[in-house]
Amino acid sequence: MVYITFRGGGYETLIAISDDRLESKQLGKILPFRKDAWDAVQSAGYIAWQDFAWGGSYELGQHDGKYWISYLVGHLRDTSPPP
Amino acid sequence: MKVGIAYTDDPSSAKLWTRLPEPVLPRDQLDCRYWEEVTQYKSNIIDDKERSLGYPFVMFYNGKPQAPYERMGMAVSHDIKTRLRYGVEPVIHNPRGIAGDPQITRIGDVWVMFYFGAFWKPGAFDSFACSYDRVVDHFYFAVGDQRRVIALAASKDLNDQAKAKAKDAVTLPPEQ
Repeated sequence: MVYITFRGGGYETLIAISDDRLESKQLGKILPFRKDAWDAVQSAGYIAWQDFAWGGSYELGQHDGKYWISYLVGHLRDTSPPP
Repeated sequence: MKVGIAYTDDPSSAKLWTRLPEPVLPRDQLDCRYWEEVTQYKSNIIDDKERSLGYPFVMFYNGKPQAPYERMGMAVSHDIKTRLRYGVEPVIHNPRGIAGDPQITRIGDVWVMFYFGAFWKPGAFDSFACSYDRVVDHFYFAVGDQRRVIALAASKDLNDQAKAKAKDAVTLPPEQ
């Protein structure tokens, strides 16, 4: 599972695995904040190009031999936390 | 905030993804739409195999204008890197409050967009929209009185199994 956490004013992207969906093991960050970059404070990824058919395979698709993600980026704490 | 793109050859490990050098859809472009003038938020890129809009990559995302609401619109691409805005108006436009965080699925012939809504009714809530011409388990974002969490909604009752697991769970300190 690719997921985001909210700490210190921004979102960061991590990955976890699970055998049963009820208990997950965190593996680490895949899109961490980058110091002094345009994604220094916000780096929230959302998997792209996944099979989106309801009840389908949910497999990740490839483009140019790679897997893709789009992510929300920012260098300012300019998002209000979600309600 | 803006939208960036990254890629990897191994999405199953905690290896860092490679980021493209610049965000896509900069807001200083002339075709920037009013509802994304202030910021852009969550995006969902799908592979439209039918090319119903003429493009393989179709992206939905929410944005905020110079006003206290958020709406969602579309962009398209032939190569994922070069993004074109599609249309002028948002595709989800509630009278007030937030419509954000789109997630597309297709149930039979119906395109369904799950999203979160807030403030046009009290509080924040899951919602969805349907379309015939456009374009399981569901993990959702939940807000409790202790902390924000990732919750699991399932099509069958897993509560007994989950309670057994919870006996061994570790409680984390409150979020900073």
